Amino acid sequence: MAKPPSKNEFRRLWTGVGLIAACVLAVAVGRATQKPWMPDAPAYRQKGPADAKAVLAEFGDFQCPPCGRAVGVVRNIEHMYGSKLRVVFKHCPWTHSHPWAMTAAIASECAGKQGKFWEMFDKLYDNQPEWTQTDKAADVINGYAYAAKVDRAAYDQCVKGGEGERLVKEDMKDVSLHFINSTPTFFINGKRFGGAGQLSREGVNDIDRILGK
Amino acid sequence: MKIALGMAGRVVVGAAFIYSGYGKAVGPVQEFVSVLESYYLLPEAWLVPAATVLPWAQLILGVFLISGYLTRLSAAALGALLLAFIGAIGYTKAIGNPLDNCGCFGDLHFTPTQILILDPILIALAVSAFLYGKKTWSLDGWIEGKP
Repeated sequence: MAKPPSKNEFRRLWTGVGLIAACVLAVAVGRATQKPWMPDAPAYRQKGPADAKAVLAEFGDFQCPPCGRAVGVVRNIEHMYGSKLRVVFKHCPWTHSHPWAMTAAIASECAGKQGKFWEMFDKLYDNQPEWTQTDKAADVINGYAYAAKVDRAAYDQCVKGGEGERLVKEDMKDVSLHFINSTPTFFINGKRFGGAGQLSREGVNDIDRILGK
Repeated sequence: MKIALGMAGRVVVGAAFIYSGYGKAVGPVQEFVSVLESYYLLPEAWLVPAATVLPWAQLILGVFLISGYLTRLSAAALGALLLAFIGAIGYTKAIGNPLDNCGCFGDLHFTPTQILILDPILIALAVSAFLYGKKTWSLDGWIEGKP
């Protein structure tokens, strides 16, 4: 016949259960009280009201074809939710594989400082096949900025003086910190979605849930 | 001296794993999946299970070690985990994977090289916790009637 457990064995068992329960409780409290990570960006790289309940952030690279294809999905989502949604763009240029990605990111930043970020965003993605397949991509990209009527002197100074690059590299810290391994990567109130497919399949449900639809 | 070494081992290694495991367990699992993905070490089907289980193992074993519960078992398990982490970091370096953040401590950035320095120190402390950490100020001591 098996011996009944001793007093020490009972103590050991219940102490273990208590410690594990404390861990579970601490994690539950942490999850309940943790604010979702909201990617920060300058105001010119954000669209929609500052107090919107749903925030959609995109880590994108202007030269990446899947990012170009995702633009339509994001535009649809913006159209569906209108002023209930804030959209934030974060730079993630893959400079090893996309030689003009940094140039485009810098140009968008320098135009952005003059309030023309989203115009550049549209131009760069809508014309992606044009500028990514020319040796004179920098000229074409600058041409988009000039066509958006930026102050040329300030824009050129920002591009050549390193200010634009500094701003892009500031964003790249979040790329590293949050292990963004591919673009586009989206976050809706801190929850990650890899690619436009996942965003349209699952992200929309999340926005509905956040907005209480 | 031995008592101090045992306590230091328990507190430092336990606290490191509690910090590391808690942050990951509280955050969305996809965050840690991305970290594991960047190591190119596990098959895709294992990423979500590993990203779910590992933070809890780190947290619970860290709590066990710091409180002196199953001290030897938790010190040995955490030592083995540290060895596995060294292996994983070594693998990324060997294949030339340019990670600039190991992803070990959430918002705290450590490069793989820094981890290759830090982890052996933690292993030494885990060994001292294994050898000398069981009896003083431990739940094991209390359970066995030797507080």
